[in-house]
Amino acid sequence: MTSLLAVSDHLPSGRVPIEALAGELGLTPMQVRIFRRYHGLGEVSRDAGGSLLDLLRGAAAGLGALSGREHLVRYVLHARSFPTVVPYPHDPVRELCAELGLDPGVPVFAVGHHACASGLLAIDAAGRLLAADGDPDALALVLAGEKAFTPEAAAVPGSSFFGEGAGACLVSASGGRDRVLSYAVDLRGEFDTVRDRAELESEFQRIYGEALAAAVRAAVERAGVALERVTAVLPHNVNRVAWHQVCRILGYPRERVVLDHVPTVGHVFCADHFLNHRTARQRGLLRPGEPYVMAAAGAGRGAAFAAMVLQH
Amino acid sequence: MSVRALLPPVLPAAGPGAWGVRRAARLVFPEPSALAADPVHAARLRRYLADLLSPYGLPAPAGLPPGGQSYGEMAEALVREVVPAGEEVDLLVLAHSVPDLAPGRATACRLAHVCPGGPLSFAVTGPDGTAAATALRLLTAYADTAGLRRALLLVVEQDWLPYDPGVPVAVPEVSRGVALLFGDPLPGERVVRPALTGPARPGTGPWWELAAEVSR
Repeated sequence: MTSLLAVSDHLPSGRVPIEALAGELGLTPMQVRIFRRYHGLGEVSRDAGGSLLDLLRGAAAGLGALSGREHLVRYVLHARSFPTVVPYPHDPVRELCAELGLDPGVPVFAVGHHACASGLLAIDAAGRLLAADGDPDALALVLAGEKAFTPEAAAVPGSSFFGEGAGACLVSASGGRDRVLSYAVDLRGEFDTVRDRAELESEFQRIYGEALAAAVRAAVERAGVALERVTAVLPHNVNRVAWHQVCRILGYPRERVVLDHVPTVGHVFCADHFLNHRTARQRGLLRPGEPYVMAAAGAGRGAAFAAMVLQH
Repeated sequence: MSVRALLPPVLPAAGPGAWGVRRAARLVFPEPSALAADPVHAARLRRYLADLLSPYGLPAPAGLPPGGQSYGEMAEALVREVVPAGEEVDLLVLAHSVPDLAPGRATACRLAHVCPGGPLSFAVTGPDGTAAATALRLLTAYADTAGLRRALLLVVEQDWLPYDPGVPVAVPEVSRGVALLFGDPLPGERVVRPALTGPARPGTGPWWELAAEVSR
């Protein structure tokens, strides 16, 4: 069964108030006030002058369990919110693998097109690759995190601001720690358009809470656990109000959704779950043997709603 | 599409059986995408590329060179070729190396909407030319461990890179794509199961040849 042998994250020290981003993003002072007061957003993390490699290196450095197991890594996956994040054919993930001493023949690739829900896809995909290979000792390294390098990658229109940071985990097909019990995803390609998506925005906002709640419900049912047994939800850090709506729909207590980093870091692309995993551990929300949920909505020229149930 | 909920991976006791490529198509796209002529898209793309290149000390192109392919358009054409009315697909994996004309687009998500069956769809990309081989591994893994046996592999590439990346780069000579529809054979149907082992060959080349073999 797919499991997470180790989870880590990295946040750079820089912080920028959302008001400082307004001009670049074309936001009015009123819109920024709504983001701060209604959505609960405040600052975003930034690594000024730092590269994507710097972010991913920081997350990988936190994987103590990788030391001595480098030779067991069979796959390296970068979960991306945005499909194109570096000039072709530059490959910072491959550079990182060389720094880490991984086998140069290991497949290194990006997996995505689920926007910010791509992190959950990467974990599921890594587990299936390992299971199909049949080597119980083999591992996959899943990386997430991106730079907010352009306005399109700096904000989710009407919803959130991206923060820079990264996360990493080691996936095993046979471990007993943080075992994946189910994975549910709803792809809503009807919200894609390569041209102006303004006319779809209101419809997307209308279905957002219900669709995300439905993904959570489907994952929990598939895992065969009752929602009330779920000790924590590790969300994507889109904003507070969206998750409060999901909690209302599900009848789930909002205090068990790890929204701690929304006001201080922002939405760290596909890496939110890794960051929130650490915070949930520190808050005692993950208890041995008990289930928890990772969930995310990916928005941006298409929509993906996904949830994963894991057993700590 | 409705929610697809998967259980943890489990290998079937009986093995993969006769599962393989049932149908294939290959197409060349000599004309640029209509999107390339869209001024709104072009303005957005120029900004995206300028911000993408700047941290690497690379200059933004003064103007976009003519051309460019939308992998979404290419993939939709390939889907129409290999998925006839009445058939459905459970899984769709899109593979490419050279970036799309629409670099921020979640194309595979769009394809889940247009491909019959509303498949679980995602993309596998990488600059070393092995994305398609990795995509095949993933497609096979999902077929074997999640029961998503009606699976479509789309491999696309284009001849357009609108900037100098400052490092050696090989850009394909033509824009083309291959579709391989996997599944359990119908009575009297022959399937081909491509090997997962052996050195990966970049680009669409081996897939282009495989599509021809399947179609014979």
